[in-house]
Amino acid sequence: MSYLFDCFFRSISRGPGINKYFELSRHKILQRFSVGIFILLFLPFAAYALAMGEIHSDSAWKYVGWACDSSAPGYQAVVEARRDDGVMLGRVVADRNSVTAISRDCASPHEFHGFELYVERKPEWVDGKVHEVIVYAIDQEEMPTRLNSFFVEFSGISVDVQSPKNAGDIVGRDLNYGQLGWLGHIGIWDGSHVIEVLNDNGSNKVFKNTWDNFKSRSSVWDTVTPKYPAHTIRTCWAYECDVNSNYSGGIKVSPAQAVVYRASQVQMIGADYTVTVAFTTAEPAMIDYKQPSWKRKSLRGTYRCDTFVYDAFRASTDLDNSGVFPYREVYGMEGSWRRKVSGLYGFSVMLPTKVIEKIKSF
Amino acid sequence: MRSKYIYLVLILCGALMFGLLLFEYYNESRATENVKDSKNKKSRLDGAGAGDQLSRRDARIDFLIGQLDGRSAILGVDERINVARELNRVYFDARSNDVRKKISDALTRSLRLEQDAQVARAITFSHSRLYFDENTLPNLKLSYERKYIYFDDYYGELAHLYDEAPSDIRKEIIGEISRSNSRYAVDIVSAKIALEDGVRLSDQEIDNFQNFLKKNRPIFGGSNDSFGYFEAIFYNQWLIAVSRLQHQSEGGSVEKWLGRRLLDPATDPRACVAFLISPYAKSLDASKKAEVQWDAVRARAQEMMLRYPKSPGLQEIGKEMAQ
Repeated sequence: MSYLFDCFFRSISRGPGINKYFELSRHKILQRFSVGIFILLFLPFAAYALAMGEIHSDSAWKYVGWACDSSAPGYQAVVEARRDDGVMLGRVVADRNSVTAISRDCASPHEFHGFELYVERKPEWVDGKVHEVIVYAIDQEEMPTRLNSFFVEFSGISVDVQSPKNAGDIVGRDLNYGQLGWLGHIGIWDGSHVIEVLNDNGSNKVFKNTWDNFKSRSSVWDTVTPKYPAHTIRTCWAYECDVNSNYSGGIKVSPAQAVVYRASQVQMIGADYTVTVAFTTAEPAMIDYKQPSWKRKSLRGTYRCDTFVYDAFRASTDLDNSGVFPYREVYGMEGSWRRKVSGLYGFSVMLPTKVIEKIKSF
Repeated sequence: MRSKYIYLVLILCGALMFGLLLFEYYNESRATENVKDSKNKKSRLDGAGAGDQLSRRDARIDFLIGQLDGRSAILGVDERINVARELNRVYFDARSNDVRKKISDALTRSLRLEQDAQVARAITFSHSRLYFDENTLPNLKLSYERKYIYFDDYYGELAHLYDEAPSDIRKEIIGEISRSNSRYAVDIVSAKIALEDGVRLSDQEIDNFQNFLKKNRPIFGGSNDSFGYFEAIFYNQWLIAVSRLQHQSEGGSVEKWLGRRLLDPATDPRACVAFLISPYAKSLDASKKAEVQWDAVRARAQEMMLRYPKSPGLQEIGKEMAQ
């Protein structure tokens, strides 16, 4: 608001300065006063449409901060970074935990307005030059507000031999926890993001992060591209499914797609984190089209990063097809795939490092 | 004398082997029964069974409630979390409303008294995923106020349950969700509305949800050429949900609204790619494809793929579309 009052007084006193106010002609005073009134009346609306936030950066490849829209309490703004040559570097939703955001005037009932925007190191972007990067917060009316700008050098290594390529690839890195890096951490690549279970602050423990975000947290491992077989799986991958396996809502997918579809289904249902090997399978809500009054609600899952990957792989097989809903129709699967996937799980062998090693041998 | 011991050891080994074989056979036969039974899953979900099974189940429920109340044993954090989850599971096995109410009341009682935030969080979810009752909303509010659950948890759970509440309460819940701006709730509401079996909403409720979904449009994150299944699935659900609500409020077919939105220059062209690979699009017949303006949508998607030949995500989808 102080900015608005500043605008108001500046509009009146522009020119000779506030001390010369009475030296202006009556016409000019009236003209400027009316401009000031106009600004006071209309700028609040413009101001309320503005997103707000803070941002800092220590390199060309990472921007951290918070953003919100004070006119829409709770709205999780979109943050976008653009370079002076017109390149759109990246876009992310500001929905991560940020203590700073809540202490500012967001008028938000929650603190989930933080973001970490990691820029992909595309070879064509690593030109060794200094560029101005402008970061915008986009409010609920889809209007951008400039948060900050930086002059940073786009240098470094662009070739990333470890980067995942195909949906269903498995990515891994050291565990980012003290001396326990050797335990490892793994996730599923969906084509543009890593889907992973993390014990981070937040509601749902299934997170979607960019590859650059994933690899920034600890030493990254070579990506594993499993040799997926050619069979198909038909089942319901939605939030709510029908108990009847002959229901038309089923979708037929490839094993790699099944892994990603299952990961998205778990995210929709919701999951918590557990440090133990024992996990609870997230089950969709079940209905019966023959008996519309009947319903069993969805069951929230509990996973660790490796049991989440196992659960997603299991969806590409007929393993545990009894008692886990919905039923999966599997066409043309070879028994060896079932054995390989079932070998991923076991109390004695379950560690992210071991799971990824086994997937490597698929 | 020594040979006697050897015989004894051999007999014991034999008995052990026989026992293991019997155990294997038992497990195998159970697995076979399960496979047979999986064709009739509803009976498993319903918890249908003989009388003695029911009484055993009731005894189990009483035992679990006793454990949660701390009457039968003092349990650790993990054990109490497991008991809370188990009560959610057995709730759907129970066939009488009295037993269900007993479980709901026990979880509510425990939540109010619980000191540990982790256990309270588990109890909250175990209760919110039961059928809607008079405890549902107070429990969720209590957990949110005491910070057992976060912003997205609270509105996500409201999105999970709004369609089960009586119509007057449902109206309030939908209003609350719509004012929340929770993106997680957007995903859940979209997933539910995208399914045709959704509950019939009033005009006011449709209006609220339309505003909510339109003002919290999902995005494709990363750079302009990044494309993954995860975001495609959620974006597509949102598209179908918004079009279905528009169909309900303004008439016209869902496909007509889908086509208009997909071809709107303000819509990210990746939405066209997401739509074309979706099961919904694959299920459309020729007349519905015409309503969507299929060729124009396809052209927009192809233009996107041609513009970014180095994008692995888009090129992988391109191969799938060509098949």
